[in-house]
Amino acid sequence: MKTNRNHIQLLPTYIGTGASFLAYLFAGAVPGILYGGYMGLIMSTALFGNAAEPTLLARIVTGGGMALGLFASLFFFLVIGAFLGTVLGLPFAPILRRMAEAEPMPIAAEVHVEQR
Amino acid sequence: MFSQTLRWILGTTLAAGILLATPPTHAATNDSDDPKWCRNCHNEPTFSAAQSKRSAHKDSTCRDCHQGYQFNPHEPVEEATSEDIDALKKRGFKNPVPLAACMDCHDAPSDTAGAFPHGKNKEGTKAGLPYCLDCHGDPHEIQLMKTMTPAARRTAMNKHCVSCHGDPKRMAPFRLSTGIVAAYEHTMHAIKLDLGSAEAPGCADCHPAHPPGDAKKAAALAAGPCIKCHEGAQPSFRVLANHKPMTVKDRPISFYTVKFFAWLTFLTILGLSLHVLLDILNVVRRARKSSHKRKHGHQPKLEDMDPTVLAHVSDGRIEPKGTILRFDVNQRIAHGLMALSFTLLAFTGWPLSSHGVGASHFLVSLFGGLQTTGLIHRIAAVGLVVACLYHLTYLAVALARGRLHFTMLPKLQDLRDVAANLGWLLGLRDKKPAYARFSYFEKFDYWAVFWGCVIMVGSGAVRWFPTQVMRFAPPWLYEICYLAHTDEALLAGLAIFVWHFYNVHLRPAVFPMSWVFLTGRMSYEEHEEEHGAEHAAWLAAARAKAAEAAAKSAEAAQATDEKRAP
Repeated sequence: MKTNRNHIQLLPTYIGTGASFLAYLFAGAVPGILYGGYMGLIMSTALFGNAAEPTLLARIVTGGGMALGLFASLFFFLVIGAFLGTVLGLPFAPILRRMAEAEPMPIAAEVHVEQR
Repeated sequence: MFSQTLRWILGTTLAAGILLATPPTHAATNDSDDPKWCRNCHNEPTFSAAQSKRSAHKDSTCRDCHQGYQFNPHEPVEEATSEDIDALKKRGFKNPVPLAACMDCHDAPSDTAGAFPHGKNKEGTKAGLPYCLDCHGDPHEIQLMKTMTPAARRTAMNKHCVSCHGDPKRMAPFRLSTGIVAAYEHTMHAIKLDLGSAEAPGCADCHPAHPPGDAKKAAALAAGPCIKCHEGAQPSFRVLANHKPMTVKDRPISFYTVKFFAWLTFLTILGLSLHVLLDILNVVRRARKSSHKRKHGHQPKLEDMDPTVLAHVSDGRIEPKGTILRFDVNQRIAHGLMALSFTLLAFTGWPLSSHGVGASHFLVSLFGGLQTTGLIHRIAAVGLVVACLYHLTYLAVALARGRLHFTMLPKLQDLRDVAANLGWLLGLRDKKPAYARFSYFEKFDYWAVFWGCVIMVGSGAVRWFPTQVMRFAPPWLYEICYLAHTDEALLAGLAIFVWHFYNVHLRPAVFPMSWVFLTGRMSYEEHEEEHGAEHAAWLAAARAKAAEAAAKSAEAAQATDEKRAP
């Protein structure tokens, strides 16, 4: 269920998301794994005793922490990127709105073809 | 004749030059104090370091410390150069000459009161106590204090402390626990020191091995080590820095606090992550079906609606463009302030909780150092408090004006929605549950923030003003706040960045971003999809009102007709 905003109007948001994804690959993925793993280690220490033995459970928690860190970092980059893209794209909003209004609705086009 | 004389002079000069320029092949032939002669044979890198400008012993010669050694055969002389050697030998030191040499230049530690255990070494009362090099390290590598940053100096010193106090064998005769090392590493002192703080104390700042040299330091120490940095600290403040291991026996309150938050964080994050994972899998599973629906199905549009009904939908909440008001301007301001302060708090607090990760040092430097990072953290904390107060005032005003509808309160229906949604996510149901004004995950977000703010603001305030709080509060309160602040921060951070960001912004239905937090408005179609129960209720009410209005107008028309009739 998409909102009723035209994809042309969402262009700055998409650009921000794309740029932030590249930034994530460059500077977010590895720190995410490191922080997640570190947190996983601390968590497994707190859960299973001090200091955590390298048991299967401790490994699962640490590995889960790494995966979680990877995703948390990705989500953060995407949301902040989309927000920054939206904000930076505000000056172009009138132009994009005009372009969006000029764009024919795809469903209407389909209907038009069928009517022919 | 002249050429012979010249040849003789040149030859003699050259031979003398070669002789003078060639270093001795054996150091035994030289009796100079210049370290370069020693280094002809003893060419270890540390000996070069001893001669560098940063070395504390750069002006000393080798024989200043290595006293009594002849150049060859390098045997220590039995007749000691210091009166301390005999006493040290009796205590089993293998090489007492260099040790005694320290005391030739440096004042011997005196400890008449017996408060400084390491200082007793000179008297030889206890075997196994450290001597100078155990704590101060290799004299070749000791650097001038002014050439090192305070953090580097303290970190280097701490390593020497840990080398003994972290060694169970070495601590066994003294019945000292090595758990203090691990406990110290969890203190704010150790964390800040690791991140390069100039103010954070090392072991020796609070536990000096010798009596302080000057009277001012001695007076400060007598008043308690904490007062040096924490102005106004009471003697009881010292218990906060205890380095007892976190066990049920030694620190039961800390032990159970950590266990509680660890399990709370683990189970909550596990549940939220599984929910997100199920949603992603559900999206993938239903993608084809949804695509089919989009192409061939029909979704009701706002413009399809009967205008007479539309006019009554929720008393005009739907604007002409077909958007529905979800959050008014006050709610958006509170949310924006909270989002900004939370993000700053997370990024300035994260390096402290994860100081072992290299990226934390980068983050701290990005914010301009530990001092600035702490300042930003405190400013953001004030921002969070303002956001909370703003929202509470908003609620109070709404309540006073009779506009508070308590739609955010958890209800039994939420549990039914959880079960229904899980069934839908697992593919056991064909239809997603129709939520009321706020779904169960929105309510979770809202009340989690309340819980988080209470914990974070409360524990943060205690950590911000420890000396003031400790004047009337018991020490265990600080311990709980210290641990809860970090653990709750981890829970809040993961809940926001994984759960909230996914549900609000990254679900395929709203990707790449929901605009509701900016505009406060939601499209008619999105409202029907996301809050079907509220949508249906609005429509039912609107239809009833439209029918009522139609009936009234019909009655009025009938009455007019009757009047007109002859």
